[in-house]
Amino acid sequence: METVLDCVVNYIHDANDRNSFSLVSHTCYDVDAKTRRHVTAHLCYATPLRCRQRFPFIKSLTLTGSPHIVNVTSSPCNWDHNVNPWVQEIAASFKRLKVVRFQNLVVHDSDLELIARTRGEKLKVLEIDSCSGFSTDGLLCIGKYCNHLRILSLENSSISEKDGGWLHELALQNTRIESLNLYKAGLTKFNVNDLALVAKKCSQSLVSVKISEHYDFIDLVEFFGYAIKLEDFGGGRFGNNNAFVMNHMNGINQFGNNNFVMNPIAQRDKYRDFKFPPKLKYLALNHMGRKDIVLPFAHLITQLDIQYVYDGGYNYRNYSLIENCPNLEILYITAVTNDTGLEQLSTYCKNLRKLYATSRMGHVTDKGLFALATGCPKLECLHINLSSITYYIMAYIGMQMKNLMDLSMVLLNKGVRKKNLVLDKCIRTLLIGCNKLERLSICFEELGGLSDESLKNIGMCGYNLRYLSLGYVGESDAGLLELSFGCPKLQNLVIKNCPFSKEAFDIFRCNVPSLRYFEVQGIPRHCRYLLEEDQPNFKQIV
Amino acid sequence: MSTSSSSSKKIVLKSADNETFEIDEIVALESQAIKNMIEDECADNVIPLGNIDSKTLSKIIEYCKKHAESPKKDDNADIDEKAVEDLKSFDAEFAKVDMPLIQDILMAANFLNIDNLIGLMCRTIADRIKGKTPEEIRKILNINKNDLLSPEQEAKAREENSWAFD
Repeated sequence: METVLDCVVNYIHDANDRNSFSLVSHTCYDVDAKTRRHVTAHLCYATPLRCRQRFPFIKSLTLTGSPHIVNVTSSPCNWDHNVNPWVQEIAASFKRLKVVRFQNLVVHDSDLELIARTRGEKLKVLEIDSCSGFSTDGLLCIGKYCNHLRILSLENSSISEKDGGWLHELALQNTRIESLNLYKAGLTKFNVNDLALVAKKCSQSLVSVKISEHYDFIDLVEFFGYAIKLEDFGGGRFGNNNAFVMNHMNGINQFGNNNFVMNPIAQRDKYRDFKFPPKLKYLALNHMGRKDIVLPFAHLITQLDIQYVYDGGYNYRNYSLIENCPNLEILYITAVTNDTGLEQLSTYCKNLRKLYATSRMGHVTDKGLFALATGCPKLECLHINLSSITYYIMAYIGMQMKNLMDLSMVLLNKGVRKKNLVLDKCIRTLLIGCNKLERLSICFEELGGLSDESLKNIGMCGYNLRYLSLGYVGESDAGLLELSFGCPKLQNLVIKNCPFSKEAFDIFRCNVPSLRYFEVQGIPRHCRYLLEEDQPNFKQIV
Repeated sequence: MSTSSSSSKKIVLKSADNETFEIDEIVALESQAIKNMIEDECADNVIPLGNIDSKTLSKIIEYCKKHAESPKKDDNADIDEKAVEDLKSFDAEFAKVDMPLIQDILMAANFLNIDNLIGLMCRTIADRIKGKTPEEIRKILNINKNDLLSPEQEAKAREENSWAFD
């Protein structure tokens, strides 16, 4: 029997299946413990000692703090974000580690130095995403000691930037970097020549680079020249448009300053010889100013991020680019979204799998959703802001979008209360149809969007839901109670402005033992009630 | 390829319950263990397999025969997709047996060192326990009651497991 389990365990990859397997018997527990390769440790539950005792041979460790707090230092928090005890354990015990990820944590330069000095030789992946507390000094240690890096990510972290020497060191020590992600990390002091050096030394491996919009494309020509295998690029800017636009938006009149306004012809000449590498297919752009540079290879693009594009309201510009991207699979767009835009999208982009269209100014109704549900049946993930929605279209989504795993709908308009009451009946149809749904988020602008009856339906039909976020939903505690009779896999519940009492949450927690995180948003922090955290595997986010 | 040639060398396998199976050598070579025995010239004409019963052995031979007859990937870079599809559907049909037999085949494949078959059986078992509760898995794998975790151990393991979700 042990032979069988020894063999089979290597074919069980899903963390939930591993967890169930470990509880089956002594043998299963032991077999799982010695073969588990990856552990995600939520800092509020796990201790490094127990992790090491149970899973001594892990190759990959993800440490994560509160899932929603972006800037951990400024947000008051009810649990420890200190990674130091873990870093000590990593340095002393986890000798096989090749992958380390930090998310939403405070990481210090000394932590980075210790990891780099002790695990630097073996480390292939180091991701420090949405973290704070460290500076470019820590990065310099990574540059010096980590010489087999494949992936380095600092996305969305707030880093104290002293200088850019760390990138030079990183470039000198590494030859196999595949992905360098400095997106939204605000790093502007490194020299573009060092970026070009990374591309030169890692030209055979480098496929993904993301930087800030500080760097002008004209200065990245050498970098793009070396990065012959690049498939994914984010950041950069054409000319001074951004500075102009930002100042303009802030109400500062810059017309007296010629540095900020370049005439269009001069701009066109400046970028005449600019070319992206031939294999580029994922692109994150900050503005559409030089669409013509993108157009020649638009048919190759499968992923497009134009969230931060400021287009002065002329949204047709984005769509005219999208028209030329028939192979688009993933699209992030925050610029003005409307029904016409979605109709075009569903006509041109039949392979769309993920769409993030979360504009606060959009005007999307049933019409746009209908087009999307008809034209893009492969959609797995849909995040959209709506100005209205009806029963019919919810049912239609349930019938058409069978692959949906992640759905987020935010209704922007107030005063559509009566119209939306009809949603009650359709939420059931939607959940029965989209039975793969794991994440569901429904938010209204004022109370009355969904009745208690709807919550009952979500509970009954949301069999696979792991994440549920509700805003201005429900009428009374009875709704939350009904919800708690279902949702057997729910791990994360976010409640915003719903009329539920502390007692109702306490009952909810008892009825849904799978719940790990619970968060109440929208009321002042000091007014929020605290649930008792007597269960070892439950944490409230305050 | 001369797999179907009748003049090829024969190997006889003998099961635990003394049944003999005469097969082409090329079929037997699917097993790395038998291959090693033959190469080291420590195999007589009859190879006794004292830990594999005839029911399991005949299934394994059925598998090896099919796979020996199929064109190998490294023989020919552009083997036609039909052959690959054919082998896939054979494997899928082959795996449609009850759990005790699957476990017997896995143990035997492990002993005989037949990589593809080990993989196929493991995937089959992993698929069957996917998304199941510990209690359901116990039933599927027919776990010995003496091996169960105590309630305290199970509680501790459950608590630790709560780290490992994404």
